[in-house]
Amino acid sequence: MKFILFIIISAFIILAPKIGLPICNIDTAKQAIPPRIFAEIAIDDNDQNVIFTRAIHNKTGIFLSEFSRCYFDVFDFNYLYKQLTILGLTGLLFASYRAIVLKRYNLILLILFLPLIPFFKQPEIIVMLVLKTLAISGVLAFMFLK
Amino acid sequence: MRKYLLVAIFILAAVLRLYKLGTVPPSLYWDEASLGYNAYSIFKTGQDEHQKAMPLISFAAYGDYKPPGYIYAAVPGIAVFGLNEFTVRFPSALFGFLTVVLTYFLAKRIFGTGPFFKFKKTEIDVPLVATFLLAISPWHLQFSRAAFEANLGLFFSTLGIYLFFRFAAGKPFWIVLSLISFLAGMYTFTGQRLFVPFILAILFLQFWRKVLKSWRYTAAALVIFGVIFYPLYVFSTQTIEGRLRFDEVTIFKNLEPINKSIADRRLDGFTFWANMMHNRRFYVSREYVSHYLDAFNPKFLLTTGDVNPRLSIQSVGELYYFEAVFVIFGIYFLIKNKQKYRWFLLAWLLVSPLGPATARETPHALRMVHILPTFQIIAAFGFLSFFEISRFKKLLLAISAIIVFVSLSYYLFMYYVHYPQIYAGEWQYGYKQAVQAVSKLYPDADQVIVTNTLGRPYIYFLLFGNVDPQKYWQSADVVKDKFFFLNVLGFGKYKFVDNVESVPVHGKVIYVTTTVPAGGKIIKVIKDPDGKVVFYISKNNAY
Repeated sequence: MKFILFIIISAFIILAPKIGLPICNIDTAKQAIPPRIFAEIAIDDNDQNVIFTRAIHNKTGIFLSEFSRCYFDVFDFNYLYKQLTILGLTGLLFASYRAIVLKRYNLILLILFLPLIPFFKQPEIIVMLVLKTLAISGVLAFMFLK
Repeated sequence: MRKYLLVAIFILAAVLRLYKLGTVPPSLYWDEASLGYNAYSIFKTGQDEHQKAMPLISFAAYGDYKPPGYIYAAVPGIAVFGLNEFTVRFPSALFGFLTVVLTYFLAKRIFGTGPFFKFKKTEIDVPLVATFLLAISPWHLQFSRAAFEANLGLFFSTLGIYLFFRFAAGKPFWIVLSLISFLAGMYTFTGQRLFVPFILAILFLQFWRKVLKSWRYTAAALVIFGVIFYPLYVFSTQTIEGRLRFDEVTIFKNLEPINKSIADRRLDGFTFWANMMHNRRFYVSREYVSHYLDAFNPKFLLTTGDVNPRLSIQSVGELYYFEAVFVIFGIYFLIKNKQKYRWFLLAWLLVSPLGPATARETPHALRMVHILPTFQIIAAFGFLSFFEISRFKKLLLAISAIIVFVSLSYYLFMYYVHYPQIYAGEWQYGYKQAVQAVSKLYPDADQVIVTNTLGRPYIYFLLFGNVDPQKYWQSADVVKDKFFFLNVLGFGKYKFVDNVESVPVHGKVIYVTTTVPAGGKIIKVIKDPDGKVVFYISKNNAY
């Protein structure tokens, strides 16, 4: 019975429609730098210390801020929910929790580095496949582990 | 030493909430203005702006029927220091500060002598770190620095939870005070009405043995709760005014999922299986889940905050990045260490978005502000638990201190320097300057025609003009529209109109408009801090 249930849940996770990520990658992050830096510096006082201005509004900082936007797109719960269904999302969370508890650092790193794939313009399908595999593994672990 | 550190955190919390309170954010937005003027009206006459004596359930205001809590809380400040931006916002800042204080005592109840470390013989524990994190929280600061009813509501719900813990610690009478505090929250902010039932259910589940043991007090508290809650319940569920605003924002009145369900069933020929698979309840549930999950959207929590610039400064998320890392650690250690109140804390975190998820706009920092200070408490626990097992304690401490300092400095710089310039328009900047400019010309004018373009101008002319409510009532022209909104068309020499050109004029006329009317001579141009024109003050040829 458990096994049939697992098959059905897995089928739902696999068959859930493919949801695209917002367009956000290294190019968009780079493109955002000049307008943002100009807009931010324009607001500061004219007599503000240059070093201070550069410390607050610099290319690296803006790039990192844009990178973080792209990075978190993959961990948006709504994206995961639509990509994996609610059971898949639960499975993914459980798989992540188990990975931490069991100190499976390779798995933890895989999850953490996953958003770099679309950021560096590699096929999004890899993200989808990894997420679905992890979600199904999580469901499997949840159902069959004591 | 620990005491000094705690006092220093409290001072920091107070300074961050009070410094430039009247000028940053740069102006009062219309709900703040309405709260302020209604409080002024209560102070002056004992009646609200629509001449209703001491409303206890709601203030009609713009027809949005505001809960009364904030308005009454603002009365003492306005009575002592007069009607201005500072006094309108002061209750929020004060209760925001008190929430920080309360967080210390609540975290102490939850963790007792939990994980801690010694820094120069001073014990740094969860309550201390959680209090510090709330003191500097962008989410909490945003709401403590403007007149948001939600911030007062947050104080009352946190107080209710704290008092419930006191009750559970063997003081049965405190349950009465706890439920009264929750009620105060419900009478202060509408969002609390969808939070209190859930948090009460969790508290009852957490402490069910204590609740049963002190059943007499519990029953008495519930009776008191029921009696005080009843009028609010009747208003919220059985009057058009009470239901209208909820109906306006809820996803359950959205026909889109139902239309989609019908379309999908039609596509499948309305067969039995089609009706099963494309049941509208599934569609509505799916939408609700999606709105619920929005609450934990990392973009909202970490990078940009709420999309509404009144609710977030846009350049920083609702939480700091470092907080998020320690929230994850915190959740892990709460479960791993089997902390006594782990399920309570996690349930508080998870039920907070249940109410706000019924609304169309999600994630909504204001409607789910009662999720605070769970993030801070969990992050504090996560940080200290991680610190306990860390091998490089000094290094971790040094890095943490630098990250906190940089994050806070960046946030404060963006808040005080950039935010007031970029988003002045979101705070209806320009009305105060317009009122000041018009006040000088008012005695000689026959008519003052003001555009409605920027919304609710009348309240600003009442508030910044310090108009006596009794004088206002003598000439107020108020109409209720089909959506039950109350529109003020004019009072005294003022006329508030959508189309300035269509108003019949006589004698000397002053215009307050966003474009110069035909034949108007500009007297003054009001610009926002970013240099964009907000209003033209002009006069006609007869002036």
